[in-house]
Amino acid sequence: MTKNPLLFPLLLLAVVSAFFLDVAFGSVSLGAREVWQGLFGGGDPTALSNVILREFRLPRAVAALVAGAGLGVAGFLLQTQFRSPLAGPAELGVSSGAGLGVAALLLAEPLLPPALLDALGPWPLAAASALGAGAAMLLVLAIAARVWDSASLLLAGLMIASACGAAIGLMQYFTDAARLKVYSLWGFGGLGGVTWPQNAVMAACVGVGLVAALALSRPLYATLLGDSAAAALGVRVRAFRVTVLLIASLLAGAITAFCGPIAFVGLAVPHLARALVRRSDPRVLQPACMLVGAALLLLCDAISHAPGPGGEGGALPLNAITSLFGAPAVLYFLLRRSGRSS
Amino acid sequence: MLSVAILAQPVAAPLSNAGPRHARAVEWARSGDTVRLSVITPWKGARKPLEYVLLPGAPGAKRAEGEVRLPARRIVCLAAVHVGFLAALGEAGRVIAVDAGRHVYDAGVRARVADRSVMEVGSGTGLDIERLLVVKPDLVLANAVGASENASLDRLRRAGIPVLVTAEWMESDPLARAEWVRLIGMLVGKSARADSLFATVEASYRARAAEARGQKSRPTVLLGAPFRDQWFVAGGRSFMARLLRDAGAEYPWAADTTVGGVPLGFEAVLARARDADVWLHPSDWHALREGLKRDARFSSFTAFKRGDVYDHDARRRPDGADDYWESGAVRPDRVLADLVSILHGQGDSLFYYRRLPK
Amino acid sequence: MTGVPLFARGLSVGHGGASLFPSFDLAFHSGELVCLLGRNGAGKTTLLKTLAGLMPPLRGSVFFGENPISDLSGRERAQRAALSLADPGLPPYLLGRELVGLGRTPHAPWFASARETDDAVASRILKELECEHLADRPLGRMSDGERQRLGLARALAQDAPILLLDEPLSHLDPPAKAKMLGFLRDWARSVSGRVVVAAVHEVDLALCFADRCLLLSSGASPFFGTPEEAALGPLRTAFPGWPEYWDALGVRKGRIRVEGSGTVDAAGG
Repeated sequence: MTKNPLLFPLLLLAVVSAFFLDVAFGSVSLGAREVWQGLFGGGDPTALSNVILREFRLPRAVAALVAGAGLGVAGFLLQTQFRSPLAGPAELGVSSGAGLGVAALLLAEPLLPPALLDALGPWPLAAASALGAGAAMLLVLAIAARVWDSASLLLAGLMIASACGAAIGLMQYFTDAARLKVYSLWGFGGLGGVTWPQNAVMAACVGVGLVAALALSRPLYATLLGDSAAAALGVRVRAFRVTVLLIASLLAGAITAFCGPIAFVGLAVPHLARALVRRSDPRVLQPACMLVGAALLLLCDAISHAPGPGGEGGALPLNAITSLFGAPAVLYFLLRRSGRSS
Repeated sequence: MLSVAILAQPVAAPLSNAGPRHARAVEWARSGDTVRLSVITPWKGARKPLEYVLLPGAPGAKRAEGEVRLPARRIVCLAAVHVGFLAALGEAGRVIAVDAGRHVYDAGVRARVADRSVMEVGSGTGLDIERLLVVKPDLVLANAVGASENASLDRLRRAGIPVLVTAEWMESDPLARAEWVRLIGMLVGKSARADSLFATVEASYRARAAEARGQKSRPTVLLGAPFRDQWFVAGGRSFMARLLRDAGAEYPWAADTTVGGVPLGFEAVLARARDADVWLHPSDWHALREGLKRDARFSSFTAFKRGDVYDHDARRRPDGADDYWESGAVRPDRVLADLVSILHGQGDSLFYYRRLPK
Repeated sequence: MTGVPLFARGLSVGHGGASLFPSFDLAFHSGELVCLLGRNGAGKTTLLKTLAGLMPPLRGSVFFGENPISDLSGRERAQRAALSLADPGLPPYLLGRELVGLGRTPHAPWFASARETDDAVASRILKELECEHLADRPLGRMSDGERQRLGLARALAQDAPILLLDEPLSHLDPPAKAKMLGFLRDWARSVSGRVVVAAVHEVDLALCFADRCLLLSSGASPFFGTPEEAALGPLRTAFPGWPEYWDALGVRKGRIRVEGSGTVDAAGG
């Protein structure tokens, strides 16, 4: 067995360490003792450092944990289903659909009756984002029901992403500067705005998605052999494909709704996890993706809040950091792969 | 040093011959019938001023680039503040076109937009030149945020339409911004009225400021609202900071030297302004419970817990047109009066401001 | 028909309504190796897929023992028949033992299964096929022939009595081809109820090792009989335009038997 028994404990340790790091950094510098006290009780609950830890740092770190795990598995599901190393939630069109929903809301807001806005619920931006992601997902599902092969489906997802991008560009052209700014801030991605109630909703959705993905480990494994071989092994390929897309969309849609589009995590984590675990069995690889994804996003979020360039000025945009890590990682794996099989 | 004397009477005409007293972004000098006008900082980072010459004569007369024939009778206002200036002088009837009806508060102009006697011509890249040509304006008043926006106005200039770029928004002193009404007065041939209006405003403003200075307490004020966890806070030398200082408030970022906004983390703002007495301009939400739904963490602010949150939406139309930006630009004394009432008084008889309901 | 592990009645197969050959009855007997022969496009792969239940027949039905396969779920079908198709695009990072272990999929419940059983079966089969050295190697670092052998190993790991193979010999070198066919024949005979149907292009070897040959030619009725019977005429009909080839092969009655040690005895007859 090439499996290292220490691997999972080490990954867990990495997640815990990254969690502490993320909690420790922010635009107000807190001493180590204040962080410790804030986390493990002690001290006045109304003291500023405790308020900051409880209301700002902890929700952000929990969001990073949940979103990282969810995006890692979403990326894994899509890469397995499409048998492509370049598949990810963005390639499915989920991020673009969410962006379209947000752009539509921002553009149309002055024209909408208040009743309609109220109908979106307490978190209008999240609702608009989820609706957009859901619409993109439905479109991909409709195509998946008719198109048999994964390559065409991936192309369809890319075309949807392009179309959404074009529509968003059009909307941006007609919006005023203030709303443009809000849209572009949303587009940077960020975990700082996720409050505890939002965290609860996101964690519930991601939790359901992760459990479902784990339950489907067997058929996922068979999918690696191709649609025909998987069918010959007893997998109901069409139904399974729809289920996988639904789960991936639930994960990516819920996360994008509350955190904005987070780049590269869904794409890079499965490659990283596979390099560490050196096995392809989803029963091992999916938990690894959860841990690697959580650790990666926690680390990126910590870096974006690190003292230095941000300072009191708040965080660097999250997507800049994840891209900084993610893009070279993906490139590295692609090059290594092509070098090996030639 | 500001004079403390309270002037109860409007001041007489001789001031029309003088250039601006407060405004920094503009300079003018009168010699005979001609006024040489220089908009010194038409936008942030402008390299050179925009020069104009204001001459009497019929609008149709031959003119060179940069010349404006006065008085202008058919005026296009591409920004709502221009409507505010004209309306303050009673000359809103001269407005023949605006950028968009829904940006204007003034009831009269809105009604004329509705019956098509005032045209909507868009602005920026969406400026409809053909429509503008059809209404045959004597003068187009515009704001330019940068050199490229100014360049897009060149199309108008090439078509022979006089364009005057104003920069009242660049002023960080409320009186300086209001003083631009004197320039507008010159453009419509009502200098005397404009000067006397401004003198009244100036006196009233200074009176309020003195009143505020005499107060014992200096309440702290929190401004704005965050997007997610990023808070753009007004700089220490910004317009709002100046207004707050004149209102006798303590601004936590008064020591900051920027004129624009400072991006800060939500945490940092909480650390400094958690116990601020008053919260102004939360912008996105109009009732406390709406704010709570957006982000439950707002309740960590003392001002929020006590309900001392105010916004200038008492005179705001449902589609967003806010008189605060229109007549408020000409009457900073009224704005100051509101602020003084909020900070030092009962928060009653407010004109532009309104306390946010639960 | 009891006791027959695989048979079909009135079977007609094809794509999109177009039948590839007239409907016919098929019965495969327990313990036999059947070689499926025919030119490209004659319908070998389509027939195999239809027998496996991957495609519905245009007419007629297929039975595994007493059950029509349309009554069985995908998993039940996969437990009774293992299909191995030619050259699927496999992920290069998949390890040999993982590929073989995937054959256990129809037997395992959804999530956790005794991973030990999977591994034990995989190891056993790798040993039988002399591929143990490939267990921990990624597919991307194997030759085509090694991958092909592992493909067969995966099908064997399914533990299904019926083996349906599409071109299992294409990348093997000539002695290995013969060895593989001999292995398949012995496998079919070792336990009752087993059937192997292998579509191959190596007609000469097929005639040597197969118990029966199924010849497909487009448009004409399929021929299903012993290699001797096939050699007399049907082969020339199924592969027209090449009479010299059959003469050169020296096709006659009789068999060429290949022993495991590699010596070749030609038994005339």
